[in-house]
Amino acid sequence: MARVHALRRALRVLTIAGVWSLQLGFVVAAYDNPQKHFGYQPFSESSTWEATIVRVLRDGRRVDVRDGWSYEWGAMVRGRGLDRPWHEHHAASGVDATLERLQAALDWVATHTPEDTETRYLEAEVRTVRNRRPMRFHVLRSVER
Amino acid sequence: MSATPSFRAPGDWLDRVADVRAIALLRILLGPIVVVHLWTFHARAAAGDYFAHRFYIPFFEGWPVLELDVYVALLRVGIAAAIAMALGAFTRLATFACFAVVTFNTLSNQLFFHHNRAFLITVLFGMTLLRPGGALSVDAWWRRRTRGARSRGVPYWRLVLVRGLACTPYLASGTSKLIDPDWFGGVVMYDRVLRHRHLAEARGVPGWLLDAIATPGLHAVFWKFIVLSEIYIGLGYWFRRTRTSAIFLALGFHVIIEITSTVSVFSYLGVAATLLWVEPRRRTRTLRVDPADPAAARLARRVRRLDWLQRFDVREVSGATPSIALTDDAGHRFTGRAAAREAHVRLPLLFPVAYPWAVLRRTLRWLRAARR
Repeated sequence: MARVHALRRALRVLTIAGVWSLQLGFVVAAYDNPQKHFGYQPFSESSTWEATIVRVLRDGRRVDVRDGWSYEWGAMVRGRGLDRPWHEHHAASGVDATLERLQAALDWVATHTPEDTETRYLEAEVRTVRNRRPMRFHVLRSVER
Repeated sequence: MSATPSFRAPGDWLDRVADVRAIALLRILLGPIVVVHLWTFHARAAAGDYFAHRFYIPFFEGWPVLELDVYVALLRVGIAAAIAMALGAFTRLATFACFAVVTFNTLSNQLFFHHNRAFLITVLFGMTLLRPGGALSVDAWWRRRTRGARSRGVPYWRLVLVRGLACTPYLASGTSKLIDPDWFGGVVMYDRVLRHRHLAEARGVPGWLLDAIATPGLHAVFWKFIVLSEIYIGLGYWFRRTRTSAIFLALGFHVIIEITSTVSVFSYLGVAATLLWVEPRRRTRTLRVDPADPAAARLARRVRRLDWLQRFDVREVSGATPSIALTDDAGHRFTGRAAAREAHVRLPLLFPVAYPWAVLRRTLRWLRAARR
């Protein structure tokens, strides 16, 4: 009886330790994840970003996605400022998370616009300011279509 | 089962049963929070604005994408479950359904993810472990009516487990900011204040006040205090001596966040979750009053009305001297105004005012004694 009781107690301690360890694992893993999912790091930066997104056509021309395209960028991509990237936005969750999301958006749009036969890939010129530091420029390119 | 977590030997807490009333109150508050959370998704989806028709990023490869009709129906199930959870009807099932729907929805799209939603998932997970229908619920009423059974408690070790999860957001957030020089140095929030100055001006905030707030030196100090407060909340919750101050700090912390940021239901959730830290015992404080004394009678009435967590055993004793006497759960005895103040601190509605008042009085008394 005493052994069963001790075993039950040990199981309870192990359960607590297991669940807490899992939670701690999420928190620690978030330091390596730009999105910081389940890492509880809110308001991590005051950084800002804006981007110009162009279609690079097969003949080499570069055309802004807002000019003469049968698709509308803002109708395909929404949330976190991604629908209007040409305006300055607060980089919610930080610059790295924003760049990762924008890269995913470029890839998604490049692969979900079947009626567009002239675009080779999409490209974003991103300007970021991380916590009042000097502006930095990044170029993101979608997958080839 | 009796709710008596007054431990005699190390490890006793693993066998004890905790009172479930504060958890039941948290359950009631969680219901509307989940409804508000899910309603924003439901309103959009019901209008045909479905996230899966646009760019989205699932958390996992192969995560199921529901048809729009099914997705709307799922959100409605979640909302109905939240209402049932608040009422305490089929509480276990309803709480699990809430947890499942909120988690499924959040994991459907990384763009839905916010830390406040992670905290909601965490608290809902905790509630699935805590038998929150044991009191203040339709289930408890039905059990009483059909079987004459009294409200059930919850294993104390489960409460400890959930408390560990609930303090993590404060500790993780505080630690991440503590080791980030931009945050701890005040740059991040100073920059935010500068960027949002025009919004404050548009709301009529005086320029001199904004100038004062936009001082880098102020931010370098103020945000250190905020970061350390977060860590204090996460640690202070655990110790009897610091718990009350940690709860008070948490309330202030969430009020500041609610005023200065858009964080969905986080502030309400954070305030509600402080109930997890209420000592899970009932009637451990005895308030003895003389009903012939009007002030004492008023205090007794007030305590009976506002003691939602049932922490007081109020006894009216004619001719009692002194007319107001309070004995707390640690055996400390207070009389007269000190007893009234101590009682007010333990009433949830009066706590935000009564606690700082009590601290102020204690500090002034200490200063006077130090001067002598």
